[in-house]
Amino acid sequence: MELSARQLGPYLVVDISEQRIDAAIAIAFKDAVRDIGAKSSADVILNLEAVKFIDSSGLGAIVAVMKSLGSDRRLHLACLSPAVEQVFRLTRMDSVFTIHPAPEAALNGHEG
Amino acid sequence: MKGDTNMVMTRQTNPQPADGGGALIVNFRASAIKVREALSMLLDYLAPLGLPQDRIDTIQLVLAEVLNNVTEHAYPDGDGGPIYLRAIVENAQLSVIVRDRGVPLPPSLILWDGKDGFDPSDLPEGGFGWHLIRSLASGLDHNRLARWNELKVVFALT
Repeated sequence: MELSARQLGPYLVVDISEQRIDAAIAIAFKDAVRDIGAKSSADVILNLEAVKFIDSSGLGAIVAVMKSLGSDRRLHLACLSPAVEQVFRLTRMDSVFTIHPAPEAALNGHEG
Repeated sequence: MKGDTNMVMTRQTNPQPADGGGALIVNFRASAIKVREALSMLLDYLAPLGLPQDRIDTIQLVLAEVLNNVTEHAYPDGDGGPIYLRAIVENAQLSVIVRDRGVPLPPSLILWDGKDGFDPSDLPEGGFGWHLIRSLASGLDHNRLARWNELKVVFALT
């Protein structure tokens, strides 16, 4: 599971290096992102720029990560490829997350 | 649970490409990694058709959901039972048949009731798969043949 974390203003950005978040990797993904998130108290931006494919297992893992942050912290998503965006749109989970074109866009967003 | 090392993935020798009227046949043991490999073979088979990327994305997603469903639910004990996949392009459509020897598929899962089975505000972590399959496949047909499930998924290519 390849990922790294960095601070961006008030956010913790988690950059995912995997090209696929699928059933083969969903549990490892969930555990790795949850562990990184637990070391901070910041809102998290998941940078999915490298991700070209996600299935329902991967979507479920991202929902689980959001829940693990608790009700006080938000999970943002950034850089969704068309294939990834389609999965969020069709399941209407795009209404649950704040989605940015790039992590930096969260800094001047209207989500306060 | 059987190890993966002795599980051989087979496909027919000298397959004709999709644009030459040939079929792709892949036999493998159900596992998340083997599903990845089978999807990769399917994309290679379709590559000569030069389909738009969004069509490729859709086909890969639906077949991923179908094959993951077999892996997780047809073989719930994780015993990696056999999966047979046959894909063919004919008359401007892609037909993919997936067979398994697992638990019978509940027929209700393939029926489109015109509404969604989940509420995003409930933050579900599962149950998305069949919604995606029904939303994106052009046609779906399920048969129980003796001890086999057979699911046929059709995609219009034009």
